[in-house]
Amino acid sequence: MATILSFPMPAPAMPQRSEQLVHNVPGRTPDPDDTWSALMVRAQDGDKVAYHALLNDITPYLRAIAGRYLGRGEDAEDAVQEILLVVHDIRHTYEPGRPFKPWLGTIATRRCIDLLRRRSRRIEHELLVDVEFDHMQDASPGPEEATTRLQEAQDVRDAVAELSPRQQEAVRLVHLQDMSLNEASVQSKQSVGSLKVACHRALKTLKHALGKGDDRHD
Amino acid sequence: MTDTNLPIEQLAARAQPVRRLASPLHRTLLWVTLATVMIAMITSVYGLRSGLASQLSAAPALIEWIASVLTGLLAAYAVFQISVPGRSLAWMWLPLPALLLWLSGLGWGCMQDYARMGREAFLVELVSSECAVAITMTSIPLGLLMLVMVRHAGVVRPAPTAMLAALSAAALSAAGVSLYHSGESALMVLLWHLGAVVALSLACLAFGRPLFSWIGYAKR
Repeated sequence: MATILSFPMPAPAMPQRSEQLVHNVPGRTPDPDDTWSALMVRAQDGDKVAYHALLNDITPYLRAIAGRYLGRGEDAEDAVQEILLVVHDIRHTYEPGRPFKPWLGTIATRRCIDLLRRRSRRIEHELLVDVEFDHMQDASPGPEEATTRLQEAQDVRDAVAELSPRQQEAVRLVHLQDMSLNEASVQSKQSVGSLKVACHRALKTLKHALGKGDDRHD
Repeated sequence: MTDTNLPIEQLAARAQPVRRLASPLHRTLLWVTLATVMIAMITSVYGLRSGLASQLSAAPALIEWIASVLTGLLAAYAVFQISVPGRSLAWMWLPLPALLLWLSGLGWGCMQDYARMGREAFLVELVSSECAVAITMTSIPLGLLMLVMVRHAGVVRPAPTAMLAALSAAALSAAGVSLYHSGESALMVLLWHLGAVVALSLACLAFGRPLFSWIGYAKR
């Protein structure tokens, strides 16, 4: 989730530290809970600077919670952004004078659990699709379908046989074995540039040859 | 600048003043007032049942009625507590003593009916099921009103909040139905009144998340 909101960028904003925005007792290290609580009260009154400082301050804390549930990575960062959105949506539920961290922690934990649930549903779905796909692959084709498949396979083999050895190798490494151009370059001892050219020409030839095949069947 | 900085800038730019939630006690009083007005209107249409005063002077019936009202009130207060992030989930047990008292009152009523009527006290009358229908029909608008009042719970604790909201609405509705519906044995009250309350609460526990999603506040 690169960007959640389609809002225009606001004016360059507010690089103030949160401690500067709230009045703390001199000589005492400010408790983050007190600081965040004070910032949230001001944010609820519409103070954009305080709200910006609060969101910036709580992000590492949210990242730690998300990391605990979802591990480090894109999912955790997505979770942080979702939690920030929820915080924004229900910021009116924070009651001044009550501890801020339990309020924030409940929201963060709940979102992470929901995302974990969503992730497991997604994995289940993908597994299900894979199994169904395997079944489709396993299903025995009828005699007509089998003949068509054999013919198509023969067409592809014939078209590939028409390619030069360099083009065949390029297609095998880059498209069939899913190697990056750099890996394929090391493996085939060809430069990245010539691999790109070989792939491009090979695909063009194959497209042309197989397209002709379709015409032949029509 | 990481990906998260941009949403922060955008959210901060949208920081309009918000109206803070009233305290759970204030919101409970508001909801109970609305529920009372609605139940009073329904009761005025059907009329108070005859012999209500003499029946409520008997201990089991009075305890059962007071316990059903208490269950509704305490469940409502619990809803307005647990729906706010950061409040303890232990509040959800608040209506349990009143619920147990309600159950005890009905059990006591069953014993008294048995002593008075013998085996007839345990006859199941399907016609009494109209109470369950009345309780359900009254509970649905009351429960929905409460869910709208605590819609932010959709992203916090949808299932327990929905269950307690149903418990509160159904318990108060059952107390209301007792005011205008008569001629039931304690067993029928246990079966159709408490049965409807428990069934509605469990249904909302199971479908709390889709319910809040339908109201428009549960992120999936």
